[in-house]
Amino acid sequence: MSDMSNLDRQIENLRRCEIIKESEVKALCAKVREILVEESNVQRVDSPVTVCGDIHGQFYDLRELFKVGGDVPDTNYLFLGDFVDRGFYSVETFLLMLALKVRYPDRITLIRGNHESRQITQVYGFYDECLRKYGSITVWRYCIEVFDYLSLSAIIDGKIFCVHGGLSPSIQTLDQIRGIDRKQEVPHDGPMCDLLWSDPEETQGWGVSPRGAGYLFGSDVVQQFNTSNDISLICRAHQLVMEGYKWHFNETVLTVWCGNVAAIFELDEHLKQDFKIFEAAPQEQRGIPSKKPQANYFL
Amino acid sequence: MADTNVRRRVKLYMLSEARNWDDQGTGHVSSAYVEKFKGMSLLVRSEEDGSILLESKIQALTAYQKQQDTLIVWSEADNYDYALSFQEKAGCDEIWEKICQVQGKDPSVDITQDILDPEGEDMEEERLEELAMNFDIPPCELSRLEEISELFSSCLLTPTKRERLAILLESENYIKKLLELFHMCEDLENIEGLHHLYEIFKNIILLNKNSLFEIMFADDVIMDVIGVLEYDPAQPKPNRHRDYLRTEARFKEVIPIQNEDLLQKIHQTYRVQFIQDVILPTPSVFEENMLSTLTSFVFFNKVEIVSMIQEDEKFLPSLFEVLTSDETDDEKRKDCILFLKEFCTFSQTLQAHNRDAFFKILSHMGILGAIEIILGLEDEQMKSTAIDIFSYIVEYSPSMVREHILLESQRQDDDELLINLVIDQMITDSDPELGGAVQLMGIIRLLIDPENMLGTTNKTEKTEFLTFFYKHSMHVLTAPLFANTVEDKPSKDDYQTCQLLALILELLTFCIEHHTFHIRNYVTKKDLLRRVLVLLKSKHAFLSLSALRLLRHMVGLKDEIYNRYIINGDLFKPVVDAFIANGNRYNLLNSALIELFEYIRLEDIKSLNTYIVEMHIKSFEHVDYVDTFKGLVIRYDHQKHLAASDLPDKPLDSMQSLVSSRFRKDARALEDEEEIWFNEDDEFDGENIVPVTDMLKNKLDSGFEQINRLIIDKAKTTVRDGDFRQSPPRLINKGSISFNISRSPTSNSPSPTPASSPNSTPNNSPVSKSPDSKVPLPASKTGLVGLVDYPDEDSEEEEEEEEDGEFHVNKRPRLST
Repeated sequence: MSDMSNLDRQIENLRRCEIIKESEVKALCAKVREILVEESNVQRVDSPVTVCGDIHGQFYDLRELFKVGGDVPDTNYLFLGDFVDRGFYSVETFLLMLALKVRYPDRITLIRGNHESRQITQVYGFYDECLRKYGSITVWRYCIEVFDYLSLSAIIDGKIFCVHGGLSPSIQTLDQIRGIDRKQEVPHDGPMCDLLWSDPEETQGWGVSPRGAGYLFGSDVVQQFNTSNDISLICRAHQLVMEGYKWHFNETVLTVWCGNVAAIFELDEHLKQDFKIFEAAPQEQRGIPSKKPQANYFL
Repeated sequence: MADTNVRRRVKLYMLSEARNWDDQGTGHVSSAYVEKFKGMSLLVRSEEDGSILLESKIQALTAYQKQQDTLIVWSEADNYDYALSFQEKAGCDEIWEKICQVQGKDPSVDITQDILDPEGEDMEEERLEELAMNFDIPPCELSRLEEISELFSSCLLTPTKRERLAILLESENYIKKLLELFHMCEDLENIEGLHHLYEIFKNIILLNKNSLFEIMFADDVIMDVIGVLEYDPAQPKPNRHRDYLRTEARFKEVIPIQNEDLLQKIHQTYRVQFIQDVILPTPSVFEENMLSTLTSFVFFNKVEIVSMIQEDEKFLPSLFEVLTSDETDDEKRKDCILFLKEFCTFSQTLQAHNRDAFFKILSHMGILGAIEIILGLEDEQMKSTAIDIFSYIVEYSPSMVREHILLESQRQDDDELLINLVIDQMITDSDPELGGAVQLMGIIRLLIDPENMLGTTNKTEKTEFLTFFYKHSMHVLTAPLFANTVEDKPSKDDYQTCQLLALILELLTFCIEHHTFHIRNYVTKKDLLRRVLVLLKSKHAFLSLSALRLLRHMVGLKDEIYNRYIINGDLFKPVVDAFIANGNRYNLLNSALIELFEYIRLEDIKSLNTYIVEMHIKSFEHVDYVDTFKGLVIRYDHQKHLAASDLPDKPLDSMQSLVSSRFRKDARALEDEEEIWFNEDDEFDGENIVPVTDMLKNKLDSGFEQINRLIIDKAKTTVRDGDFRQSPPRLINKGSISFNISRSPTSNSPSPTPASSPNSTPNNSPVSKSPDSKVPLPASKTGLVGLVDYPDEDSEEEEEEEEDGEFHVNKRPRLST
């Protein structure tokens, strides 16, 4: 009981964009790992659900998103990865998501994006942010451990396949995703890498991705994949789209994005689709993180 | 550190007069403040001899271009065009960010400056510049503070105005005058004036000029500047920074410092760092760029402090004397060790040659011995500080530490050895979160990593140290594992124990991957894997997964000695049990288990395939969601069928084991020590270990086993004496026949599939029937990445190709005979 009220307090802190103690992060990460380890590589999700794209540490956009889309647990959410890097508040954003996951495991689903990676976070900001906000990389270490447990994809009502990047030439059926040992750093190639890195492209077949990882996949690939797995739509994120969302290939692939103009993709219990578009949160007054110098110094 | 080395590895090109890109050499790039250029510069240091290949100031207006994610191209004033070609995108991005930082650009651009039409626009630019330069600052008076503040913030946006402003501030002694106004305002409690002054000084700091920092951070001025910065208009009440610095922050002098300059530098550095870290708001990425000079100001101060301390003849010797003396009381010793840690932290920012000198001196002073003494004490804070210092040293030079360990092993008991103290510290970490143990695991891994052992110049380090480690330390590391796995389930299964065991498994997995025969000997002698697999029964999934991972790495080596060990001990039994216990759940454990079996199927590891089908297939009969197990049965039946149609008196897998027992994908595994292993190892001499080159293995194909077996049977009689290196003609001969086999359409893959990612080559994996002919082959993909040629990688490839070539050439005449 006290555990739960503790967790609620942490959620409250994080909702105010305040970081929680390092020891709390540790415990939170351990708990969320216990939940995630039981999830499958293609996690089943039931409608109604709201699907959201890359957040990238934009805490205030996330807050706006919850305002527009409804709060957890009132709304059931599926986040398509890329929670961290680039923004100023990757720590708060990611920890809030983890805390919500522990508190309402069935009302929020988190899958892995290509930025949930040791290598990428060391270049694109999450590593530095952890170091700056906690004074050591311990919190980063806890978080990257969680990354390895995140599911790789989700399927809504057996009909809508959701993944961060896209398809892989090594994967024709959803069952093939089952045989991926996902508890590892995102590899540089192979099916796990492709799921997190690929992009749709107005073409046929497969193409080399300019990103250096994953592939470009064309409309025929999608058609075949959707037919053989009896799905109607592939929903993914990973690319910036100015309007917040973008259809590809005769509405068989959808990209959703939370950037300057953000879109969330709402599906009701009959999989009826609706988009909510909103503007990014205004440049808020940044709270000054409390910084303490060491009281004694030798040098 | 190793990561940075790879990331920052570059090839430098210069455009020749003939408009060709000439290779200037390969090395590591860094960016640093270079005194003679008075600015941040790019440095490329040759990896061959450490010489400087490039030293180029990042000019404010040079157009740098980033291309294809791994190239940075620019022109220098005298028509020199340069290109840096990076091994990794991450490294390119890092350096790109530095360049953009210096130029104040957003790193998302691909070119930092517009390339201007050299004629017209330049003129325009010059006229604008003249206009911009033509201003003055108002006289420094209380009534004009607002005006001054506005002027300063407007100047910040244009580089030329910033220059002009800096010059004016310097020449007119303006800062001192402003501080006089500050005292006046503070006396009069003129809050409005104080707020203006805050803005003014914030902007002066943002001018990012070293000369201005020198003025503001002088001993008699800096406290006033900090005073000004207390009056942030965004804060309802002024901050009490000066109070804090005067009363709370206490300077601790463990060993009295005689040198006045040094003392002053220390205080100045602390205060400037205080301004940077505490007073100024957390910088946004943009502002961080603007304070680069402030950062280097602190940096150079630190360099000076470190070298002044080093140069002091008495200071460090007396410090170490106090630190290690029996007479010293705990408080004093604690201060000494804390000082030393701060000293080491300071040194982290030093450049390579300064760090060399730094660690040499520490080593000379006996730092490792001192750490040993501290680790023998009961004080947790001191111990963890000592570990931090130790970690700096190991990261800097693992060889230095290993040398120390080997030396002391000649005169000390095992349990007093530094490495065993460190392992012991890891095992007994009292922190329930095991924060220290995680750090120690990383340190130990660095120490036992053959990659950073001196391989070329001093061949013996690897052999010597690993032999030492397995004899004197491995049992200390594995003790908790053996203690906890006496029965068929873990005797202790609490979270903390499991976390520790997971760390130990991580190290053991590392050993299996990197230590070849030492660990193999250890595993088979101690029946280690059986113990590890007991942990599959832990209620903590992360530990079960760690145990499974260790097995997976072992299988990934495709080493028939391991495979036989597994088969003889029926070690898949606990794995199958775990699969059954997990039931129908589709979770991480289920996926990891399927991946293991799928790997055995895809890689066609015959001995294990046969073993699994014959012993355990019943447990998988109900599995219909993947074809893995059906596939194993098909392979098995196929093999049996072949065996039946051929010589029935020989079991099939024995032949395959001959072939693969010496095969490794890892080139470094095939080193001289292998021979030592051959000579030393007498446990498996009944196994007919016949070395066959990787080449041969690659060419083998399962469909043509009978032929191969004949070949190898023949080979066995000739190569059995064990010295395979003296019989190359026979090897070539064997290879030449199987080369024909490889012409069969099923095995046209030129390279072995990487063991670590079974599905990584789409065209190889049976599950992916190329949906379209446009499927990029792995080769074409690496072709894209390989924009950079690296001599090492290249030469390896070329060697392979050459070998291949020779192979073809040699075989023909022989065949014709």
